[in-house]
Parts: sequence; structure tokens; C-alpha cells
Amino acid sequence: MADPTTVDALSLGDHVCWTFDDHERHLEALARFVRAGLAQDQKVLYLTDTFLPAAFLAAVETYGVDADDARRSGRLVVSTADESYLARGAFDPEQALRGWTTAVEEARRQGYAGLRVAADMGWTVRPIPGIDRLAWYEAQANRIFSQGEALALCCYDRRLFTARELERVGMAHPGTAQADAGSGDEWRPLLRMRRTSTGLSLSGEADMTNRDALATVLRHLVEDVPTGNDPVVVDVSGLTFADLGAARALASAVTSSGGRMRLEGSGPFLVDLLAFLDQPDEEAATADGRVA
Amino acid sequence: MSAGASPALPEADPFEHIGLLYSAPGDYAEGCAAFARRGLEAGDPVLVAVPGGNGSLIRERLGDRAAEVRFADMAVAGRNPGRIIPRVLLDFARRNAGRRVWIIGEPIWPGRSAVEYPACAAHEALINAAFAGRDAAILCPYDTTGLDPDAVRDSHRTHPIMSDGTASWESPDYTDPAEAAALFDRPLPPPPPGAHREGFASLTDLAPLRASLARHAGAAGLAPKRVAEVLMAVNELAANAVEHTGSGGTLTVWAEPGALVCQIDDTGHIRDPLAGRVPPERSHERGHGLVLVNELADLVRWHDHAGGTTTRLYVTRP
Repeated sequence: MADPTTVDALSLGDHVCWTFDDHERHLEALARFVRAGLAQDQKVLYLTDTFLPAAFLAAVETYGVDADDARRSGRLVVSTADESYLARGAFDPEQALRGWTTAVEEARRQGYAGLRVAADMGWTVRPIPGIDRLAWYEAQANRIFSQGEALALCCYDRRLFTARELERVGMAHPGTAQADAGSGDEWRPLLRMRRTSTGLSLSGEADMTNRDALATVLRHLVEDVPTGNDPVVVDVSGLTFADLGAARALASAVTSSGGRMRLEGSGPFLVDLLAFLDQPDEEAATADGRVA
Repeated sequence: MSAGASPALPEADPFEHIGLLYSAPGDYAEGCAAFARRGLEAGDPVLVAVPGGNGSLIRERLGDRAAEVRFADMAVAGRNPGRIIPRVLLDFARRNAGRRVWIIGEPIWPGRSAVEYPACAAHEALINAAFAGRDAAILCPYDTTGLDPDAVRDSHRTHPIMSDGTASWESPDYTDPAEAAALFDRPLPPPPPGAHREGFASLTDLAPLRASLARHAGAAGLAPKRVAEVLMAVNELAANAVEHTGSGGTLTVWAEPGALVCQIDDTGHIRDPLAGRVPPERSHERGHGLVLVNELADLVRWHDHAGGTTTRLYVTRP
């Protein structure tokens, strides 16, 4: 499982698929997660599927977190998946996404520096109506978290999911922490997506592991960024690696924006790669007889 | 093909692929210029893609008409033989869609190394599959005095028509493209004992794999942009291995004099002999990945064996 210290690397805007296979280390990670949130004046929400809420609060106290005080003041909320995602009996992804937007707004209104969420996802293996849309939901959630006012740690118990299932759901997250993440080199989310006043800033690496997260944010960026008629700018200067799929997602978002979106800060390699992708389509060229 | 009741005769394939055997520079220039003139006289677009100074021999012979011909240096554009079909031949055909194209393509010259040659010969074989049914004529000059006799012999297998500049004939040794390409799928010399080996099993292994490859590529003296290109190419191959075999594979990296070599071994098999040579329709990412690998590497050797596929990339280093 990912090392508990990996959660220390999270910052507002992150949305991470975090895997565990050991309750004690999961608890340790959550204690670190809660402590860091309280120290940064964030509102902390934990949706548990692993512990009884009261038992969790008592257990994190043993890690030196004043959980009881935080809970009474409303800075820490511990609830269960059944009371949150499944309050209506089925999983309704649209409802859940609206719930996150409301929760982020509420935390802001209450004066917190942001919202920090840890969510156990073990409940998703149960035969629940709507659960087939989990990966869609996780990808869409990036549109909310990338706004930079909230961060989410989605905790997947490796014992409940196949490697293939984890790979698929991982692709909907900009970062995944699994196997021995954080036990050797310092870990951080592979990709960071942050909304800016004019669009989006990307940093880190975009590859197959975060393909759906990036594609979803890019696909909806023009509708999500209120720039009026000003161009929507995707700052890629911090992108240290983009695989072919990521470059295609960037190129396709620019093309389908009808001139509204542009990239800023492309390195020489990304420029070449985008040119490679921009070769005329053979069928299209035949159809209109275009000669370059 | 006619849809009527009468039995339709099979339409003749408009594609011609001719091996031109020559032994003297004058014969080379005249054989190539005659082919180019046929294209020009038909009002068709002509491309001459030959190595280094050979272009000027043809240019001189064409005189004023050379201005109507497009020239490319095959030693650059076709340095990696796997790049020639997608980025030289099909690219020219695409830019001139709806017209017959005439191309002089010289992928094999005396300076080609033993490690390059099988990739060159496989390329010649696969032109026949990639261009089947296309309105194109491609002439490939073979230097019968400068080249290894085996290379000249192989040209009879990969070209349905042979010519010596005065006469042309159907090659009796011509071999089905996929079969011929398989003949040139030769085992590779093993990596040196000190090579760095690193397994990968899942997509989350790709980022650490790239990080260690970046260190090796940097240590081999590659410029930062070239390192980025190597990471891209190897990442595509490794991601394909994870996706299509389910069990990942192994990356082996080492530096040779003049080249950084990266090898991916996986347990899968590539079924389509044109993979990486004919760009698929835009929506198919995998095929584009292999075309990109051919675009970025200085040489790609593929070897299909009982245990899977070995893909070896050579990247020139200072």
C-alpha cells in the first residue's frame, strides 16, 4: 500500500486515488490527513466505510489529533458512505457532484481556507444501482477539485478491487498512490490541474494513469471557465511529460473550442508533437481535394 | 468494380513498385531521370527521396525540369527505415490526394549498417502492402557493385517489377509482402551484460520507468529535447505492452558507441505487419503510438519470437 506519509504531499486542488490494504496504516494516513487539514484551517470531512465514526475519532486521538474538539466545533465531520453517497439508496453521481460543489461553497462561507475530503470507496463494490458510473463520476469530480478550493483523497482498499478495476478508476484521478508509493522517493501526485483566472494550469506528468481526468477537465474547460469572450488559456509550462494521448487531448480541446482555447508555455518537444498530430487526415484530404 | 450482372474483370492494380539495378553513376542518373520525366510528362507530382549527393546526379540530368520535382534527403527523412512509408511515401501521396504520384525512393545504400539492413529490407517488402491499390509508382535504385550481393538478391523478392534501365521484367522471386517482411525479421544480438534492466507491470510503473530512462539517456549525452523524445517513444511501447499483454514487460537500456539503445520485451505479438507504418484513422491511438515511435527513433528493429516481441530503438548520441 501507499506509505501513510504520501498524504502529506497533498494540496488544495488535488484529487488522488489512494490505495491501502492494511487498516492500521490506513488509520495512520487518515490521522496525518486530518491533522494537516486542521493545521491549515481547512474543513475536514471523512466519509468512512472502514471504521465506525466514533471509533475513528477515538483512534485518531491516539495519534495526537484533537479530534473531539474539532468535531464539536464542526471543523471535522466524520460520516459514512451510507449517510452520504447512498443516502437515497442508489448512487446518483450528478447528485454527488452537486453535493461537492455545495460543500465547497459552504466551507468557504464558513471561513475555512478550503475543504479537505477523504472518502473510503469500499462501498462501491456492493451491488448498488448507478455504481457502473463510478469512473465517470470520479473523472467529472476533477472539474470541481481543480478549482483549487478543495482536495480529495479517494481511499480504495486493494483487497476489494482487481488490479484492472483500480487501474481504470485510477485514470480518473490526476494522481494515484499505490504499491510502495512514498516508501522510497518522495511522492507527489503525478499531475496537478489547477484552474486559473483565465483557464487552467497543468504541472507534472500526463500519461495513461491520469488520462480520463485530464481529458474530462479539458473537454469542459471552455464551459467551466467564466472568461466571457476572452480566450481560455491552458498553461502547460509546468508539464514535464505528456504522452501521445495527453497531447491528443490537448490538441482536440483546442480544435473543438473553435478558437476560444489556446496553449501557453509549450516546450519545443510539445510543439513538435502537436505538429505531428496535426498532419492532414487522409480521408478529409481526399474528400476536399486539398493539396498541401 | 462493376455491380452489374456481367462478370467484372479484376481491375489492374495501378501501383507499380520497381527495383532499378544499376552499376555506374551515369546509369543511376539516367534511369532515375527517365522515371521522373515519365511522371512529369503525365503532369503528375514527382518526389525524389535519395541519400545525400545522389539527388544532385538526378537534378543535373533533369535540367530545368528539376524545378518541378520535390527532393528529400533519404539519409535524413528515411534514416529510420520504419519512418519512410508513413512520413515520406504516404505523406507525399496524401498531399497529392486524387493524383498519381511518382516517387524515387532509395532506402538501401552501401553505407547502411548490418543492424539497419533488415529494417530496410522489411520496409521494401511492406511498401507492397501499404500501397496496394494506390495510384502510385515507386522506383528503388539498387547499386549492384556497391551493395552486398544479398541485398541485391533480396531486391528481387521485394519488387514485383525489376529493371536495368533498358528492359524491365516481372520478378520471378517476388514474395508476398508479409512473408517477405518475416524473412527479414532476424534475431537481434543480445544486450551487453552491463545493460540496465527494469521490469514494469502496470501503468503506474511507467512514471518511475521514465525517470530512470531519463537518467540513462542524460548520462549517454543526449540533449534534453532528445531525452524527451526517447521518453515519449519508450513510454508508448511500454504502455502498449501493459495494455495488450496485461503483464507488462522489461526495458533494457545501454549505450553503444554512437547510440543509446532501448529495448522493450513483452509477451505480446503484433498481428498487423503495417503497424507503425500506416497511420490508422485518427481515433485509434495505438497505431499512432507506433508511428510516433518510428518518427522519433533513428532506427527501430522489431523481432517477433515464440516468447513475444522485442522492440529495439537506436537513438544517435554524440
